Amino acid sequence: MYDDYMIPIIAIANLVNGILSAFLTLRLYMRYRVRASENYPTAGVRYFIALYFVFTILWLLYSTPGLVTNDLTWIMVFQSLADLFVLIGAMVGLQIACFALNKSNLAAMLSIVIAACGVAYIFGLAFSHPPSIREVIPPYVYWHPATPNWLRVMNGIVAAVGSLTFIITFAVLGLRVKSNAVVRRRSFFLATGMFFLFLASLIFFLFATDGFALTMIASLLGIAGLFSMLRGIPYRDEHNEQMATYLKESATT
Amino acid sequence: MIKKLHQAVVAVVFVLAISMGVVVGGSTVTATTISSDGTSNSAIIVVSPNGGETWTVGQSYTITWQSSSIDNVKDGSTVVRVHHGTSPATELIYSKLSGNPGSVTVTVPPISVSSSGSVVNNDYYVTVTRCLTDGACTLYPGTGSIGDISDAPFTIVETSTGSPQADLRVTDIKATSFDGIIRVIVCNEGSAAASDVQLLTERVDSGYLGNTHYLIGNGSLAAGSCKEYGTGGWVYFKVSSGGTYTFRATADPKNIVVESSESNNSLDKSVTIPVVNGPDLSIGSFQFTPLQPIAGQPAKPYISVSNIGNQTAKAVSVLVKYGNGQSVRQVSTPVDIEAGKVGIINLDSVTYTAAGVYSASVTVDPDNVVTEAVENNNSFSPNVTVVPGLTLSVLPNPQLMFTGTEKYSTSDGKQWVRYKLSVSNWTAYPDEMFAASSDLPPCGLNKNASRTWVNIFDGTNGSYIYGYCAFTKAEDMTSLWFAREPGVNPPVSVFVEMVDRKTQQAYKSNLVYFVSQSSTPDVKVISPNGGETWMVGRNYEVKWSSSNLAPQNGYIVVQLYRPGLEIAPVTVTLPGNPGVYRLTVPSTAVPDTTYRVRVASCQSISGSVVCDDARNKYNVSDTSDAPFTVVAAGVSTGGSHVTVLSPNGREKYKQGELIKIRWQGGKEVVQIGIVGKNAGSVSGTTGFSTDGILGWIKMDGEPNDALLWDGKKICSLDGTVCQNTIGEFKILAVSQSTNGNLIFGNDGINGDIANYDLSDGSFTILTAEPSHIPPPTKVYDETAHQLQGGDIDSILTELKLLRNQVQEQQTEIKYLKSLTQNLSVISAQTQEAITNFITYGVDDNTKKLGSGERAAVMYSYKAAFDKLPATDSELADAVKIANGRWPSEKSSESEAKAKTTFGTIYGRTPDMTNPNDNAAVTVMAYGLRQQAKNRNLNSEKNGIDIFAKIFGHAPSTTEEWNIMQAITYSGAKK
Repeated sequence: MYDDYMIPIIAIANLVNGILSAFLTLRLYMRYRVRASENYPTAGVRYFIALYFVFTILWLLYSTPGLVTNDLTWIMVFQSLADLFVLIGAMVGLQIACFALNKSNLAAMLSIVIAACGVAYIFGLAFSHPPSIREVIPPYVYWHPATPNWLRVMNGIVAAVGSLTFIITFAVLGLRVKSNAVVRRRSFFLATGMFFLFLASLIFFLFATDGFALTMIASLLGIAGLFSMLRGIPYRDEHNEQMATYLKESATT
Repeated sequence: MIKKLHQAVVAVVFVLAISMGVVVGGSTVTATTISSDGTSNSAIIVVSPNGGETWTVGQSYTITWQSSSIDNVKDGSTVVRVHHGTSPATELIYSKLSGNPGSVTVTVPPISVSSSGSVVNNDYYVTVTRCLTDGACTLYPGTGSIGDISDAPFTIVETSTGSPQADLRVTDIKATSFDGIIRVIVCNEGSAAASDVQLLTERVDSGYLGNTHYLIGNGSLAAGSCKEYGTGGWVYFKVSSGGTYTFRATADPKNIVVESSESNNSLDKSVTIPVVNGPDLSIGSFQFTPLQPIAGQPAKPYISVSNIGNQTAKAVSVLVKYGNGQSVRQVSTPVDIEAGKVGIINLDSVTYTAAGVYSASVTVDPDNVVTEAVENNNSFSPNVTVVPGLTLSVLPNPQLMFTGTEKYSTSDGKQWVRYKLSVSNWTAYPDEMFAASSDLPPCGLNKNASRTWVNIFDGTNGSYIYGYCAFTKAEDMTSLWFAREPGVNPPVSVFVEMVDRKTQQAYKSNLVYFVSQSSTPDVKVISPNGGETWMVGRNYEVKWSSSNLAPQNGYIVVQLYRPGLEIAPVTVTLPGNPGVYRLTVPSTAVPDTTYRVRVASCQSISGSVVCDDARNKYNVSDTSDAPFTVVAAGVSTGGSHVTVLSPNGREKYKQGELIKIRWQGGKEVVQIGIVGKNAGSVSGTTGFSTDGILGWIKMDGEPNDALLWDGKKICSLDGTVCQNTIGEFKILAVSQSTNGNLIFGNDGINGDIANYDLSDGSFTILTAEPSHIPPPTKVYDETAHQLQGGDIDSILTELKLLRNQVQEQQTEIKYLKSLTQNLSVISAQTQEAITNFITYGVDDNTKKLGSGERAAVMYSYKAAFDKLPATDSELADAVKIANGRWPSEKSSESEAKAKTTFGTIYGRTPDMTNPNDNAAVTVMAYGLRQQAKNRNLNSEKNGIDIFAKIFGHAPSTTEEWNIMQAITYSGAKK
């Protein structure tokens, strides 16, 4: 065997991110329940809970190679499922952006487009689903998908469009809200958080096999992104502000 | 007036006050105005009862109310009613009072009984109304009245003596036989049923220090009935030996049941339990580990047997029938059970094959060996509930591989070919699976056949080939085989199936293919095959060929390594057999000159990719024939290694046609030569095979350069031997070795690594057509591609020119602005291409034409096609026009116009089958330029004169200059 005792560094990093994301999802959900019981509007927070939950699932799925299984076919299955959750995450991200802009029709339309991409992805996989490629660069072991390029490119474009739309939306909203420092700060936290996540995924994608240092940087960026976004979600009692109110205000300012 | 105003203010304040919840008489009263007289000043407020009170039938109570501004009513009477619910239909009391006394005392009459027979004793209200008109007082609710109703209902109850009630009494405490169970008799002597009866039994012997209380049972007890508690599945109170005991039994100890008498619920009684001599066995419990047996899995039963006699029971045994056809008879451990002690009898595991409820039976001392005081308490018939088990197999499927063939002959001299197979993951199976199993059906005459049989099947149709039923251990599965006669092909594929006959579980292997027994599986590395230079961080193509690999070897492993060093910088496992993979040199790769690539055919076993199992004949591999170099990132590979870029294989040229030879890298000097198609390095003294030809095209080339060669004769270095170059060849590029020598083939001495490269594949030079050399279309296309792609450096290299940006700016000012007039948006890329073309030209001919002529080419193109060349093919057409070649694209409009002009010049219609006429029309239509080397200025002067005679003026526009060109060079005549 060529890869005995190699360290699945990216899988470990993803596991850490997944566990952290699960913790944040739980925390967000508990706070959401309290607020819901106090009859505060919580529609926006629900979206973020969904986003964090999707992050949790996709990171845990991406953490399976080497930690759960070494079978290249199963790794392909898990990574493909994770890719589908990337699409779902992009969908939720766009929903949040549309919610902030009060564009429910646009949200529905984008959801349909992404859902269509998801269907195309599943069909594409049905026709071509080669096992993943394993690359051992001592002391680390990595796995790459061998699925057709167009599937990966499609996924990448959807994810990039989703996250960039999210970033731009909240950055612009933050810039426009000049009178409300809280709203402004939260907008920037949301934009920055997603930017960190975008950067992290870019590093994972471009420098996927460059060893410990870059993997750690990407992982830390992911963690920073999660925490930064959390600070932007109005789930705490600060100023008794609500997501809906704040988003609507920022959209109309 | 003032009085009226004062009254109105008081009334408003009053109404507001009571509407805000004023405390009246110690309780909060909320006004409920039923109706008004229209003045909005009148009001009556019921003060008492106002909700929550309890009245008793036959008792007298005072109803009080307050009022305001009701002087104007005509009737002058007040009506007080007590009624059930808010409807007046079930009125209990009606009293019409004169005036407005503010209170009245009433006596509660017997209350009504509902249709269900229960007493209606709640939901009563008081209403007080003041009539406005005669006869309207009876209407309630309705208009025309002022009044109020109790804010909440109150209760009216009958006197307590009249209702039926239960009366529980403990009548007896007894022990009917010596089974240790105390029985308590409870009777309900009341007139109503007791719905929730509980019983507390305590031992209250004088001096008894026990503190054990037993609360037993609950349930209903009908009026006039009795019940014996301690039987019928109730929890019972039990003593362990004979004697006299005093018990106290208390019915309804928590006083939940409403009884007519609460003083008769308890009884103390001494009970004598007979003392029995001898042992007495009683079954305490029959249980399993796990508590609930699981179908298909063994469960371990155990029985607790109590000796409740006063002597030791010896040699106690039990007989258990499990209810599934199995039974067991076993002696307890220890065998003897002392008086008052409990013995545990552990039984062998039993397996229920299916879920369900089984009626088991347990008998202690079934053979009546022990003489007991009581013999009728030795049997117990419990139900055993078996839950469904999980059906998932924990064992993997066998991984089968083909390990080769061998010939053998049987005792009769017959020849056979043995096809050997092996289960590679045999260690995953316990040897118990292959234990001799006489309890299972025999294998032929073998009554001790193994528990698991292994059969080989044809993978195509599933038919049985051969089987093994006498294995003794799992490792035996590494020596499977079946045989065929020599010359008889084996099945295309086979698989094995293991059948565990005990659990009826089958395990099926993967398919193993027999590709071709006559051929040998092979993998061959094509590139890198030695001499290359790779840079850290960059990716390079690894190519390999393979033959006769079996489908079950579904993986290829590519490894970059240095022989002798264990840790390879990178190892990639690829699914399938793609034949090529772009391998990235990782940053962990140490720069060295001894790298090779290994490509191996591998198979997956239990999720792991295995390449080195020598038993699998398809596990073959190959490595690069010679080492190659890995350099650090940033080190120019071009400076140390030369690579032929073109021609690089499969190109075809006609002799005389320009062949562009390009190379990358090189150290100081690069020599370009031509060799035979099979040339290459060979092991041996010569070091390099030229395959019959070695001619040098350029001896003083520079790194990263290119040249054009017409593919004609090639001569030896000293020029004395020349050879015609028709055939298939490769380009050889040689640059300085590590020690600065121009060597190729084998490396030199003292670690001098050769620096050379060959075309990856051969190209062909064909014989030129004798009469006409066709236009070098390929060169034009390639040049146009370079131009369009902005690769001006390559063009300038070929033209041996330096870039002159000042000149480029002049071209833009002088020509480009006028060229782009009247055109839609022109891309920056197109503008750059045109600027470069006009400024420099693209080949020797256009270079010699001069920028004015080159600009004229562009004007001609624009005139012919009403656009500027933007794409590769359009630029190629422009280059062709500049070289006097026919463009690929046609403009019927321009050609029609040219034909008209042709008629004007020559006085006839052009014959397009005539080459001269055709040339004249084409030159006029598209502005084809005479090649620089063929231009004749005197002829052109005559052409201008002819043009002036025909048209009356010298040519001035692009179209007119094209006409002059046609007159001068086409050869067409009147």
